[in-house]
Amino acid sequence: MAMIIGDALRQAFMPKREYESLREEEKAWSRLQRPFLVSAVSLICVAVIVCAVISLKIVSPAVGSRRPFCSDRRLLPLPMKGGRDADLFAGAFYLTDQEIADYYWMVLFVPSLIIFLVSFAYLAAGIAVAYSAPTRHSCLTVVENSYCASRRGGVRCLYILNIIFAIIFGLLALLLGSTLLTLGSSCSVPLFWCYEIAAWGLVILYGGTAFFLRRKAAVIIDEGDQGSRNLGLEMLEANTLAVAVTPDVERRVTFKSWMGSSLLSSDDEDELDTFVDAPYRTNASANRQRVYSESRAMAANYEYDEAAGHYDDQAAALRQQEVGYDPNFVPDSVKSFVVHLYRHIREKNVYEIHQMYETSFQTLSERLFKDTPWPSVDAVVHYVDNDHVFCLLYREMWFRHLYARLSPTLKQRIDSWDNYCSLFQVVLHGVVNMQLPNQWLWDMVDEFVYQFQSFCQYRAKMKNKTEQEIALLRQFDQAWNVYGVLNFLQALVEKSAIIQILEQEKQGIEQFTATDGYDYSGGSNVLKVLGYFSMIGLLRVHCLLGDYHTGLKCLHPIDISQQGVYTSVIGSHIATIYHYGFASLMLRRYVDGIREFNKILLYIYKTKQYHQKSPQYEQILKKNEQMYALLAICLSFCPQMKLVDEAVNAQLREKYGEKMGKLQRYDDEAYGDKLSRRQRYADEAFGIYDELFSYACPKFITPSAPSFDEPLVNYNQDAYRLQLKLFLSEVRQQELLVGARTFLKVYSTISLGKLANYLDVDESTLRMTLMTYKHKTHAVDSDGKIISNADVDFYIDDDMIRVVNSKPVKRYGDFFLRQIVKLEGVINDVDRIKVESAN
Amino acid sequence: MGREIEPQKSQQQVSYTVEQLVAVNPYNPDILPDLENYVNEQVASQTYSLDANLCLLRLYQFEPERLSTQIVARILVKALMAMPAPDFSLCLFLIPERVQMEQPFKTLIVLSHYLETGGFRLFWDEAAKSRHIVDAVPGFEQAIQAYAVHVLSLTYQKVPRSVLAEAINIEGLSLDKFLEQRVADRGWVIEKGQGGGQVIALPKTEFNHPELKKNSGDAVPLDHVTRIFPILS
Repeated sequence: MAMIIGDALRQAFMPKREYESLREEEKAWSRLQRPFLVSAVSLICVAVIVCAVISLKIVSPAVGSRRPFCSDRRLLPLPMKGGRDADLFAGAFYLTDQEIADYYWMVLFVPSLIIFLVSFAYLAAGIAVAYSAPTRHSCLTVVENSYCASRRGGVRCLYILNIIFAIIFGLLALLLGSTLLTLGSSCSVPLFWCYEIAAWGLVILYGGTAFFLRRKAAVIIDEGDQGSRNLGLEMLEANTLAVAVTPDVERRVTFKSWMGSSLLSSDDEDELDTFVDAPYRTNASANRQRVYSESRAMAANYEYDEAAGHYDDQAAALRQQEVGYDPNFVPDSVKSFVVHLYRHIREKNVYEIHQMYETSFQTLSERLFKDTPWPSVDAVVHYVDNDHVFCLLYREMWFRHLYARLSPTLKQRIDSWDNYCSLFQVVLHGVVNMQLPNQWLWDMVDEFVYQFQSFCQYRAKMKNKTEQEIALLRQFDQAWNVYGVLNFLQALVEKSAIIQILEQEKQGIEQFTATDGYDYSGGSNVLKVLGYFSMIGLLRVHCLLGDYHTGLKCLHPIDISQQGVYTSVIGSHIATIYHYGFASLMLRRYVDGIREFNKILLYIYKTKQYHQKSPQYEQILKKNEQMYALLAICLSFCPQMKLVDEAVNAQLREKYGEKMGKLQRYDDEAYGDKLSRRQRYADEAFGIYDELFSYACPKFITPSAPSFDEPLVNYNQDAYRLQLKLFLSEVRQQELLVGARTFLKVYSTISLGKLANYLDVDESTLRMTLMTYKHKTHAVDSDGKIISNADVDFYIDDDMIRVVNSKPVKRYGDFFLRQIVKLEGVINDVDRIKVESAN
Repeated sequence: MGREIEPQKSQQQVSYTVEQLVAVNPYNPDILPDLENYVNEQVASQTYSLDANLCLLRLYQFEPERLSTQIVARILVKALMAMPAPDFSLCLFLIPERVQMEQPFKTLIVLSHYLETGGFRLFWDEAAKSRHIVDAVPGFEQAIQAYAVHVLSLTYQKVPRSVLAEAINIEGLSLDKFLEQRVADRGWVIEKGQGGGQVIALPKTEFNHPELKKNSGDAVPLDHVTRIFPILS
């Protein structure tokens, strides 16, 4: 013991850097912590008990003896005080010892005792739980049925209860304790001190318990029926998170987590791939480690669970030898995570699975695996009865975490592909008997497509490949092969018979959407819902390949004009509409695009705040911005503002108002002659369209394998360049329409010659332009029916252009409806005020 | 570990038509020859299947070394004939840029640009220069003429004879014959224009007679009205 204390003293004066490099076992302070805390707790307990006993002695002294500690010293000043007041309240402050004892007994002691007895169970349970963390202590059952446990989980509930009682005792000590002093009696001072010491001791106990419970909350896997998701947890985690996220981590997380694929189609990902460089990486993690340690030092929170200790240990080792990750070490919290997850999956407890998947997994990753992978599947397999399917699921999450936080190596990419193959084959051929949350199933499909896209980008950068990598690529040429990816998705769609199910649902024979895809009759939802999401996956892959027509055909069975299972997960909802809208844009179906973008942007606008805590929040915002850019493009091609909701319009104006203005302003500034003005307009418009498109387009891929024999070149930008070029040629074709539109809006009749003059083109070019306008704004659907997307209706009669009422019909109906509702609200308010004042 | 997942269905598919093949098994490299034959069949029989052609272009995209310039050119000509549908650009999205830089694709892209922007005279001039490309596909001229008439009838109530002649590339006596036929079976009317020339009144549609369009703008959807039901009651 003496040696440990000696160590602790020595380490206390060590430079911080040196201290951090110590292995966890060597840190004496953490070893001292537990005995120190235990002795502190027992000391306080003893003090409380002693004080209680003394005060009881004072209240009811043994027969014949004096009340202990009651001196007569206070009697001296009292007469003076009493003398002053004697006329009015004779004897008011002259209490006998017996009276003050009764007062103490009835007003202070008994109520405090009752409160203590009521709360003792929570205190004891709290101490036990905090002490035994991260293993779940059975004492948690004391809060099992309480209201708060069902909402926030047992540990958090205990934490809240303890805080509340700490506050109550604090108030008691302040308020009731002070009343004792106002009563003049020989015993009031000793009673006061007894009471204060006991009450404050209890405050410390409750408060301390709450403090440690709060720190342990995340590592203890809760079993309680947690009602409203991660609210409580997020609230508690905020602190640690805020300090520990460095820009570096942030960049990577925002990049790769949810749908990193469809970001800027620039070279951004290059950076990530070169990230593999060992020195840079270790450096970065060392930096992060330092920040993390410092933040922890600032908080002076060295008390921590073993798992986090391991993390420290691990990172320190990583710095020292550049390989610090021990895939076989399983921290207790991971152990309990795996065991519980496995149990919940076996019991088909979708709700709990969802909680663990969404919340616990994220929390543990954040705490323990910030920049290391999770423990390897081999290390956890014996906790879950060597269950094959569970291992596949675990590995799926393992790789997803790896992709999100680190840079996967080629070998890992190939392994991940193998894992998806095995997983999907089990789902396709085996009889899986699980119910998984939709969120998870969506993430599977989403990640599958993302990893495919990421692999294509990776493979297309041939320039920096080493011999070894090329050999691997040759050897595993089937990994992430585009046929394989497409066929898996297609097989999931077909095998699940989801198209037929949706068809039958329309006729009312089957239920799918109503149950959100879950099977309440004991079956499995996995294949069905995977099949469903695979249709969205196919849409996305086809968009990445530039095959918009086929993409939309794949999505056809899902009716996106209505709510469906795709809207049950925000990620899938956004992915569906984003790709649908993008494909519509490329197919020149601008009105479809505008309509759907408007709907989802309004939805995001209204529900954004509910997703703030979600790990996907960043991605939601990113996609939100991209869709505004796409909407701006659609509206510039097809200015139909009436399709756009006011809230969305306001946002759009704020973000792209200036750019859209430039795109639609044709003849505004009178610089130079008309020709050069037109040229300038065209150049500027080109630049803006280029910028918007590049920002908002998906990350296109080249699906074919490189030819290894030719000189190695990067071709990762080819697909993007092609799509951009074709998009810009569409812009070029519609270039003259902006001017024509401007004039058609202000005239009801104008001769061709006059308009040609205004536009400074010859008459035949004008005829061409007008025909182009008609052609581009009128799509022909598959039945040969013509659909008009036009914003101006006109026709040419010989050589006169006649414009028919191009003014947009104002929606008075909607306006009046809104005002009626508003007025009703105001009248109600007024009514209420009247009633209140009458009362 | 199950990397060979391409379904080996080709033996049992003998009886399938190509359309069915595309519907059932679109991601199978083995159907590539069938699809190529099907393109030739479309050319010969003057039929058209966008889905099958996109499927073939997709397979080319996956395995660029199997790409056949001749087949792709035929697909693109067929796609031009499908105007006003955007099929041509759909195909271009799938063809690698370096292939698009070669002949005959460059010419085809120019042709498509003229059609997209209503430049029919330029189009016919260019087409005349590249007879070898377009003549390989029967029905090409008729298809483009049909497209030209489609665009004209979207735009014009009454179109001057010269404009029509330019758009469909028919003049003189053959144009008279063409018009005669249209007057008989499509309800075209030949009138005298102000300038003395002939003017052809095209059949009314809601696009060249916007007043025919149903005015749906003023209607209030029911679900908006439902909001005030509680107030009304």
